[in-house]
Amino acid sequence: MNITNKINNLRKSLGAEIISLYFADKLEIEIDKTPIKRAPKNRSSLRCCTYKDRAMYRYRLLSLMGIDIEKEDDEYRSISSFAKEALQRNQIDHKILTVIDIACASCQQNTYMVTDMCKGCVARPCEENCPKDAIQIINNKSIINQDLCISCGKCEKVCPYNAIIYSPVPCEDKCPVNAISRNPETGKEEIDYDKCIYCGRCTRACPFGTIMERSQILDISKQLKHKKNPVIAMIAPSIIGQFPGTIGQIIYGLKELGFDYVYEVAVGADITAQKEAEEFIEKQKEGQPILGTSCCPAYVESVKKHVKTFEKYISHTKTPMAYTAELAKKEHPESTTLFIGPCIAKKYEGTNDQNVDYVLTFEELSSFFLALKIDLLKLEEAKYDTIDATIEAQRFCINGGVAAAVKYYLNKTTPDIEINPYYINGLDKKGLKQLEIAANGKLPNNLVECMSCEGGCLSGPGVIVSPAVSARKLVKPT
Amino acid sequence: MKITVQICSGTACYVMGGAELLSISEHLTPDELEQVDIKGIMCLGLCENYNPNTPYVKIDDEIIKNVTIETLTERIRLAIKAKAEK
Ligand code: FES
Repeated sequence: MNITNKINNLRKSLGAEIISLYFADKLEIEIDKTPIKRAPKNRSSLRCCTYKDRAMYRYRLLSLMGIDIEKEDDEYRSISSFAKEALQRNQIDHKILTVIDIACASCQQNTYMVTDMCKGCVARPCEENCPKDAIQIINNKSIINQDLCISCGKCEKVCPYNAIIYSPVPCEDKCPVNAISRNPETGKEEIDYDKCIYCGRCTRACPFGTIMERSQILDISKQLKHKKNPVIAMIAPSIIGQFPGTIGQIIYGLKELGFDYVYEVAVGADITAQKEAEEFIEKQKEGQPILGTSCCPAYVESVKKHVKTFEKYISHTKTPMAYTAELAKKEHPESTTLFIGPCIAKKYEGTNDQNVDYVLTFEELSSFFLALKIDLLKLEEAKYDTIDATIEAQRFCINGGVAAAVKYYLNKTTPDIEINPYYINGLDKKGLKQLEIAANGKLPNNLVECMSCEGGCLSGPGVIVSPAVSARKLVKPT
Repeated sequence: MKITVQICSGTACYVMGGAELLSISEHLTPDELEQVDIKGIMCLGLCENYNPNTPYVKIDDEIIKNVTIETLTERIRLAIKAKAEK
């Protein structure tokens, strides 16, 4: 799907509504009206009826307020009572996703199907090419026996009429680790958290918007409105191109939202790259054949859960977010820190890092700008409250960027050590296999740079703008 | 006179899909590009209350809503054609 679609835009606008009601002190009074206002009677509905639409708004609002829908499903309760509860919490737990089961359309299982375009031709390449004899011709039409079919897709490719189509279950299709599947009893999709790597792909793949993040927008709104301590925004390098105007205007906009300091996470990326270069030299000297980068949390999680053999090769260097948060807490010990980036897995990483209090996506940040009516183009410019990062660090967010930055630091100190990276650009089943091969010492390379999202962080699930547009704004290396 | 294409780059339009429209020049032929003047503009003031019709584009004096790269390409072509016929 395109990055701009109705589900993504709906999340932004509902998020904005929650934030603006909260800032106007009207959240608990007004929020129960939102589903009715958004789906009034006498208007054509998005789903079967107005009432289902309203129910969907209810659950979307709950997840945007950070409620765990699978756990808290008391239908008697008002949305407002959930809002009240959400405003009382002081901690974010590890379960960062939630599934709106009534949104799930119970998609047909991943299948190849023969459509009416089948002419029952004489050559019958589908039947000829099926390795499992799953295709039969009945009444001059090709039929796939689903019990035999292994979804290899050969028939689809050879049909001269394009009469065979593949119809995936979008969330399952995009999950690289088979962590989401249909519960046979309820017919609804469920996430297996023992397998989930928090890459967030399912959240953006489902065209019904079934899988939602448990957003922290309310927690952050609370921090900004009733400020006891300074609040620090830490901005990922992939902010580039996500909003109109210059970086300076975005920083100014963040200060208008109420942030006291704005830190550039690329500064942390410089530390990561430098330390990773040092670690690389050390490991080479120790005779370790390969080092895996460590900054992408979805990939690190996938190794922990699915490629255990590679775990010992992952660098112990912390992520740019972690170093930036460390710096923030050192400079302002009493502060509340918030990471803003393109990533859903960072939300999980954030719950494990005591220096990171909250994590937002760019999409969620856009809700703040919308709610508080901040028109970035009209603002003045401000500067980051951190030292300047290198261009190399700013390019951490595209594939190849991390290895290039490590190389940059390596060349500074030890130019005689040759770095030969292997890139996993978008972690899929093949990528997981490659990690296994690397762990077995069968790769000729000595560094693995792995990014869960194809293209790097610029293609993260929480971006607003497609990488084709945003990448153009990235500074080129000199 | 060239046809003016003004892409609303206020925050609301931009984040609701307007950003994608900034690549419009890649979707037009060099010939077509000759005849249009494309620029981003400040908020047109139409985005109140999470108006679901964003993003907006103004082609000469006409405002179009819910614009995608596909519809924008088509609208520009139509405008060029209409002008040629005049
Ligand atoms: S941002 Fe486009 S009309 Fe306001």
